[in-house]
Amino acid sequence: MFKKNWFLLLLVTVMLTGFVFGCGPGEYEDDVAPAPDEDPVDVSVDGPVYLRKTFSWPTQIDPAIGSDFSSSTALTNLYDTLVYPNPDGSFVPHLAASWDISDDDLSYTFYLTEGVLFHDGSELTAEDVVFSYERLQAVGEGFAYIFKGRISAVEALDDYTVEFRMEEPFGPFLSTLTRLYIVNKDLVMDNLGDGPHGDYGDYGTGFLNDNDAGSGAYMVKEFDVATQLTMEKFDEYFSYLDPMAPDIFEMIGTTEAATVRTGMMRREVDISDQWQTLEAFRSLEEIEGIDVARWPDGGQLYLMMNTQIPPLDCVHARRAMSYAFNYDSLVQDIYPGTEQAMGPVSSVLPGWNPNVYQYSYDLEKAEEEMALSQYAGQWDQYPIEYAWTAEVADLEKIALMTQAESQKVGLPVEIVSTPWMTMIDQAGSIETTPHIMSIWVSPHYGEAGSILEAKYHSSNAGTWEQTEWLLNDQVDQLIEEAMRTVDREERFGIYMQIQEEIVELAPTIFAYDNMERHAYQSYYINWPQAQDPIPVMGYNLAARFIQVDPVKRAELLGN
Amino acid sequence: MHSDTREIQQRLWEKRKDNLRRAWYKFSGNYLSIVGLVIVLIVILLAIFAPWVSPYPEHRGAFVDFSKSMEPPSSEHLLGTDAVGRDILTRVIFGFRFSLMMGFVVIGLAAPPGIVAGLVAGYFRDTWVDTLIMRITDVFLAVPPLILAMAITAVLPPNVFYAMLAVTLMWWPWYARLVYGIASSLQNEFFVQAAQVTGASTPYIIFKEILPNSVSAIFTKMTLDVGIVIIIAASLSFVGLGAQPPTPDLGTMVSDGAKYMPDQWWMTVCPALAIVFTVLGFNLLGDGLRDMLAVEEV
Amino acid sequence: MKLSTFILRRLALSVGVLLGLSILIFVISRVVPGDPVRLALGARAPQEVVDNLSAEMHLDRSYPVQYVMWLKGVVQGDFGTSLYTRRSVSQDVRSFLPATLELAIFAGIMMTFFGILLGVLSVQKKNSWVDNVVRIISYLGVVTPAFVFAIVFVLLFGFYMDAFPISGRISPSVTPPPFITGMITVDSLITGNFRAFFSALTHLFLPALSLSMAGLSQQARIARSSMSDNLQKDYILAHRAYGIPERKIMSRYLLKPSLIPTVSILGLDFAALLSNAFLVELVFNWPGISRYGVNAILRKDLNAVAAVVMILGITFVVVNIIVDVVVAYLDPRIRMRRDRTSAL
Repeated sequence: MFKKNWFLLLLVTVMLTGFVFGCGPGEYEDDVAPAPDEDPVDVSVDGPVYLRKTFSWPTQIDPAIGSDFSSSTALTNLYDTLVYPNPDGSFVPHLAASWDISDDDLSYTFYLTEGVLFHDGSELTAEDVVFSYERLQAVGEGFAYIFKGRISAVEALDDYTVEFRMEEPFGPFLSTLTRLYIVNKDLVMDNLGDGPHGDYGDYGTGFLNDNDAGSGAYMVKEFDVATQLTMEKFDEYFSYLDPMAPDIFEMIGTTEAATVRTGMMRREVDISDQWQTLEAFRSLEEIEGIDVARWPDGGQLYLMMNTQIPPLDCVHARRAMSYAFNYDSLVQDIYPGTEQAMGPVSSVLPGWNPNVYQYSYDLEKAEEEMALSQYAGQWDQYPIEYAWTAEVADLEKIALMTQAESQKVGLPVEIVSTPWMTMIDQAGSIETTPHIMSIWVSPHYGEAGSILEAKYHSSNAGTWEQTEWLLNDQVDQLIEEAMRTVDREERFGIYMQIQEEIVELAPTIFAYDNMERHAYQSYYINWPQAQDPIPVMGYNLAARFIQVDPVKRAELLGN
Repeated sequence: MHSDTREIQQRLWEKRKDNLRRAWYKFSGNYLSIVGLVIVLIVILLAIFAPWVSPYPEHRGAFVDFSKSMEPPSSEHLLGTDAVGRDILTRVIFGFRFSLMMGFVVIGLAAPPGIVAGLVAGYFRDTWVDTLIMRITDVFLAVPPLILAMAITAVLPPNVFYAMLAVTLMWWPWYARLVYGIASSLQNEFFVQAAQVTGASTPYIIFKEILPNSVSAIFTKMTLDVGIVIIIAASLSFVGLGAQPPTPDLGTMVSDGAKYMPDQWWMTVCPALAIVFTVLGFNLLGDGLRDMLAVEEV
Repeated sequence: MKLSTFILRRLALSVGVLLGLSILIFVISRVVPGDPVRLALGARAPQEVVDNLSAEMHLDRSYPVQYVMWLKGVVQGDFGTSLYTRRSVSQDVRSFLPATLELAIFAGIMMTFFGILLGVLSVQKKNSWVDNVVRIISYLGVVTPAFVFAIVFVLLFGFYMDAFPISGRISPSVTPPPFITGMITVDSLITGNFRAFFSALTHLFLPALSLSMAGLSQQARIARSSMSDNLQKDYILAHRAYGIPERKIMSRYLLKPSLIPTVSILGLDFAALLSNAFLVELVFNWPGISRYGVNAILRKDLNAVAAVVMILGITFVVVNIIVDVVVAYLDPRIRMRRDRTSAL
C-alpha cells in the first residue's frame, strides 16, 4: 500500500510545504518587467493609426439613452452639439455659429453653421435640431431630464435658424446644450422600428443602439456589444481635426487589471480606463513611456446618507458620521494627491463656495454629536448599512475604513458589496435605499447647479445620484430660483447659499474631489486635454485633438 | 433468561468493537487516508480555535492599517498582508470557518430530503411515485449545479445565507439518485420481502430495513461532497455572489487578490492554496472511507 | 432493445426534462426582487416609457400566461430583449456563443487528447516516475477549482514567463477576420489570415488549458484504471503469450475496449467544462456566453439569464444524448440499463 502511494504522499507534503513556505518572499517581483513578447505586435508605421482605450461596459451610443462616462465619451466623438465647452467652464460656438437671446430670457434663436455634413453626406439643418430635441424628450432617458419641463417649444425658422422657447427663464441653458447631441433626422426616419411612439415607431432606438447618425469627427465602424466600439475618422468633419489625430479610435470594453497592464506594456492599449487601483496606476507609471494624466473631473466621491430612515434621519447622527470619517487617511493612503472636498461642490466647478464649513476627522466631535442625538445610548439598535460598488476595488478600502472608524465611537456599520446595477435598483425607493451608498457623481454640465440639482432637488431623489432623499422644500426652492436666474453672478450667489444650507443639513459625507486618472502612452501621444481639462464629462477624450505618432510608437516597440 | 440477554448484548458489543477495529485497520493501511484525516482535523481545529491560534484575530473583520498594506510574506506576516493591511494567514484561518460551515450546512440540509426522496422512489419502483420523483431530479440534474446555483443566487440578495440556500437546492437530487439506486435494488431482497409478509409498515421498511443498508454509501458521498461544495461555494464567492466583506472567505479573497496580480501575488495565491488544501483533505478522507466501507456506488 | 428504440426513448425523456427545466428557469427568473424594467431604464425615465416596456415584455400579465408566451418564444428561438445590451437576446447569443464553443471545443480536444495520452503513458510505465507524475496531476485536477488553475496559469505563463497572452481572443493590434462561423481560428483559416489565426491560437491556449484540467485528470484516471483492468484479462495474456509486440497489443487490443469508459464520462466532463467556463471566461476576459451570463446574472437581466441557462441546459442534454448513443453503439449491454446518472 505504502509503496503504491508514496508519490501522493509526496504530493501532499509538497502542498503542505507550499502552503506554509511557498508564499515566502521570492525573486518573482523583479522579473515581471515586460519581456519581448511572442505574440505578433504591429510594429509597422504604415496603415491606419490606432488609438485604443479601455473603458467599462455598457456604453450606450444612442444620444437619447447614454449618459454615463463611457457613453459620454463615445457621444462626444460621434455627435456634435450647438455649443462646445471650454476648460474654464465657458463655451464657444460650435454647430451654432451665433445666437440671440430675447430680453425676457424666454427665447433663444440659434444661427447654425452652414455646410456641416452628417456621416452619410447630407447637410445638417434646423430640422435636425428640432428632431433631436423632440426625440430626446420622447425617449426620455439619458440627459433628457436636464431639459424636461423647461422648454416649451423648439421650432425651425428656416434651414439654418432654430428657436428654443422656455417655460420660464433657465439660467444654465447654454451650458446644458453640451448635452443635446444633434442626430440626422432623415437617416433615423429611414430606419424606424416598431415601437410605442406612433408614427415614429421606436424613434430609431433599435437602429441607434449600434449605429450612429451624427456629424462628429468619428463614426461607428463596428459596434461589438460588450466587447468593443470601433470608430473611424470622418474626413469631411466641419470643425478642427488634428492632422495627427488617429484614423481609428477603439474603445475596448474591459477594465480588468491584468488586461490593461499587459496591453499597455505591449503598446496595444494607448489610454487606460480610470477604474484601476492606485497600485495599478503606480506600476503602469513605472513602465517606460507611460504617464498618468490626472485632473479634477468636477465631481466628488459622495457617501450619501439616506436621510429618511433611522438613525440617519437625525441630523446629529449624520454629523457624527461626517466627523467619524477619516478624511486624512483617505487623501493620504487611498487616493494620494487628492484633496478633501469642501462642501457638496467640487472646487474646480464654477459656482463653488470656498467658504463653507468643512467637517474634519474628529472622533471627539463625533461623540458630542452622538450625545445630542435622539438616538443617544441606543446606537446598537440601529445598524447602519453601507453599500459600495462591488466592481471598484478601492471603494472596498473606504468601506472597511469607515466601518473600523465608526466602530471606535460605537456606531455599528455593516458593509455590503453591491453590484452597480443592484445599487441603481436599491436607490429607487426610500425603503430599499441603504443607509449609506458611496458613489462618484460628476456634473452633467459645467457649473455648480448641475450637481446641486441632481444631488439635492426632490425631483431627482431616488436616482443613483441622489440616494439621500433630502426632500427639503427650502433647498428645492433655492435650486429652482437659481435655475431661473439668468444673470451668472446672481445665480452663483444662490448656488453658494445652497451649499451652506446643505453642509448644515449634512446629508452627505463629502469625501474628496475626484481626480480622474488615465494612464497613457505619453511618449508617442500628445493629449492637450490631459494638461488643460474641460470640466464636462466625456469631452476630454475627443480624439480629434489627440495626436498619435506611429513612428515613435514603433521606436518604443523596437527597443 | 436475564443473563442470556446480557450475554448476547455483550457478544454483540464485542463484535461491534471487533468490526470497528478491523475497519480502522483497513483504513489506516492506506497512509493517504490518514493524511486526509489529519488535514481535515487540522482544518476543523484551526476553524474552531481560530480566535486563539491566528496571529491577529482582530484582522478577521473591520480593520484597516494602511501603513502595513500589501506587505509581502515575512516573519511578522507569514502569508503577507492584503490591500488594507490585514494579515492574510489570519484571514485564511477564519476563512476555513466559512468554507467548512458552507460544506457541512449544505450537505446537512441537502442530504435528508434527498435520501427520503430516493428511498421512497426506490421502494415504489416503477410506480407513478418513482416516475414523478426521479423525473424531477432529472430536471435539476439537466444543468450543471454551479450554473443553476448562480442563477438562483442572482435573484436573491448576495450573502452567505442565500448562497447556502442556492447550493442546497441544487444538491438534494444527487442524494436522491444515489439512494434510489440502492433502494431499488434492495426492494426485491429477501429481508425486505420478509418484512412485507410479516406486516411491517412501509415507513418501517423504508427507514429500518432499507436505510441502514445505504448508510455507508451515503456517508462516503457526504465526505466527498464536502470538498465539492467547498469548491462550488468558493466559485460563487469568486464571481461575487457569496460571502460579504469583511467576512473572511477564501473565494472572495482569491478574487479580490486577483485584482492586484502580479505584483501582490500572495494576496490571491495563498487563499487559493488554502482551498486546494482543504478539498484535498476531504477527498483523501473520502477515498479512504470508500475503500474501508467497500462502497461502489459513489 | 434496438438501437433506434433506445434513441427514441432517450429523446422522449430529454424533451420531458427540457420542459421541466424551462419551468424551473421561468420560476427562478421571475421571482426577482426589484423591477427589472425600472432597473434597465433608470430612475429618470418617465412612467409611460416604463409601462410601455413592461407591456412589451408581457410583465403585466399573469405568470402562467407569461410562461406560455415565453415558452412559445423560446421554441422559435426568441428569448426577448436583453435589458443590458438593448437588443434581442438571441442576437446576443449568436455573437457570444461561438467564442464559448471555440473555447469548449479546444478544451475538449485538449482534455481527451492529453487525458488519454497521460493515461496510456502511465499504464505503459506503471509505477515509474511518469506514472506518479500523471497521478499527481490527476489528483490535483480533481481538488483544484478551475479559477485557481486559471489564476496560477496567468501568473506563471502570462506574467512570469510572458509566453502566452492572458486576455481576450485576439491581439488588439491584429484585425480579426470577418464573422463567418464566429470562431476566430476557423474564420481566419477560411479567409487565409494566418496572422489572425496565430494570434487567436495563442489566446486560446491558457483558457482552454485551465478549462480542461478537471476533465483531463478524470480522463487520465479512467483511462489508466480501465486499461490496467483490461491488462489483467485473459485475452491480453494470450496475445502476450503469442509474442505479439507490446506496442501492437497496446494500440490494437488494449486501447479500444478501454476507451468505452472514457467516452462514457465525456458527458460528465462536459458538464464540468460548462460550469468552469463561467469562471475561466471571467479570469481571461473571454467574450463568450458564460461571461455574458455572469454579467446578466449580476445585472438581473432576466431574459438573458433565462436564455443562457436554457441554452446551456439544451447543449448539455444534447451532448449527453450523443454520448449515450455512442456508448450504446459501442457496448450493447448499456442499452438494457436505465439511463445513466451523471455528476459534476
